[in-house]
Amino acid sequence: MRLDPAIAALLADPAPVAGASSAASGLAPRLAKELARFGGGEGLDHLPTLAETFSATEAAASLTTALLRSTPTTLSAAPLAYWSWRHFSNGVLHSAVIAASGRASLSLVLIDGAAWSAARDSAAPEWIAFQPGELHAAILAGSGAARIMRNDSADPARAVLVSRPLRLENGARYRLDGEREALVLDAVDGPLLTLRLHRRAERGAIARQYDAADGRMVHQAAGDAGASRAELAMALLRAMGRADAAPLFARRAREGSSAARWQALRECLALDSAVGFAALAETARRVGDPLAGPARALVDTLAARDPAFDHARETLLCPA
Amino acid sequence: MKLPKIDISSLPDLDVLTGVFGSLKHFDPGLASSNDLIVVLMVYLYETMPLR
Repeated sequence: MRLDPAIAALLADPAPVAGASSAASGLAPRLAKELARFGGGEGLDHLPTLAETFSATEAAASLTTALLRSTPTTLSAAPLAYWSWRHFSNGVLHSAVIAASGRASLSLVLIDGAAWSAARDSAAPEWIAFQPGELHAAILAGSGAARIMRNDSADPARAVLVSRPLRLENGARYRLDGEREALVLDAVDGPLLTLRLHRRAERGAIARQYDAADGRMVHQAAGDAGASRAELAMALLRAMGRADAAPLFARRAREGSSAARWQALRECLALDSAVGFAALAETARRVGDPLAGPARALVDTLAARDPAFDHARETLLCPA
Repeated sequence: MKLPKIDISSLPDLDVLTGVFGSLKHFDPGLASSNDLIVVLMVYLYETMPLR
C-alpha cells in the first residue's frame, strides 16, 4: 500500500486536519443562539438578529462576507483539512451548510446558470414539488426569473395552483411555506448566490408533487428523512430476524404519517406475527383513525387465511 | 399467543403509495435541497478482537 507523504505526515501530527474546522465555525453567538431557537420551532418574528439577516439589504451580505473571509486562506494553507461545513454539488447546484441546529440550517447555495440551462429538459412536464418546511432566502449575487406557485386546494389528491412572478436579483428576498408554496425557476443568468435559512418539517410530513397542467398529484413521498430512515431500519431488522425489535415496531405503528404507520404494521407482522397482529387489532379498534379501515380489512383477510388468526381475532377484538 | 409466520410480500399496501424521502420525479436540479435528499442508514458490525 502506498501512503502519500502528506497523508503520512498527518498520522504523526493530525492538527492540520482540524484546522479548518475551528476556523470555519464562525457564527456570532447571538445569531447561533437564535438559529438554535428557530431550529426548536420558534417563529422568526421573535428572533430579531436572524430576522434582520433576511430583511435588511446589507445584513445577509455582510454575514456571508464575514463567514467566508477566513475559509479560502485556511483551506489553501491546509488542503487536507477537514472542512466542518457540510457541502454538496450536483454540477448545477453547489451548497454549503454554514450552521445547523435542531431542525434549522443556514446555508449558502450557488446555482450555476449555464449548467442549469444545459441540464434543463424543456420537453419534461412541469411538475411542482411541495416539500414541507419553512424557507427564508436572500439573493446575494446574480439574477434570474422565477415563480412562486401556491397550492390553495384542500384536497391532497388535486392541487389548485396560483402563480406569482418573482424577480431574482441582488437584494431580493422570498419566503416559502413548503407545504403550500414552491419555487419554480424560469431563468438563471450566470451564477446565482443565495443565503438560505431552512427549517425541516416535523415528523409525519408528506411531500407531494403535482402536474402544473391539470393539478393532479403525480407523486408523494415521505417529507422527513427520519420516517424513511426508520422504514429502512425496520426492513433490515426484520430481514435479520430481530424479534426483540417487534415491540418497537408496534410503537412506531402508533405515531407519524399514515404511510409510515402502515409500513411499521407490515414490518411488525412479518417480524413477529403475534406482536404485529395485536398492534393491527389495536389500530382496527381505534375510532377516527384513518388506518382503522385498512387494519380491519387486513385482520379479516388474515383470519380467513388461517384459523389461528381467526382465533386471535376473537380474543383481541371481542375481549369478553 | 403463537401465530403462523407471515411473508411481508403477502401484506397489502395502502391505496396511495408513499415514496422514500427525496424520491421526487423530474426535479429541477437547481432546486435540489442542499440537505438530506438522501437517507443514510448505518449498520454497525461488531467483532470481538483477540487481545494480545
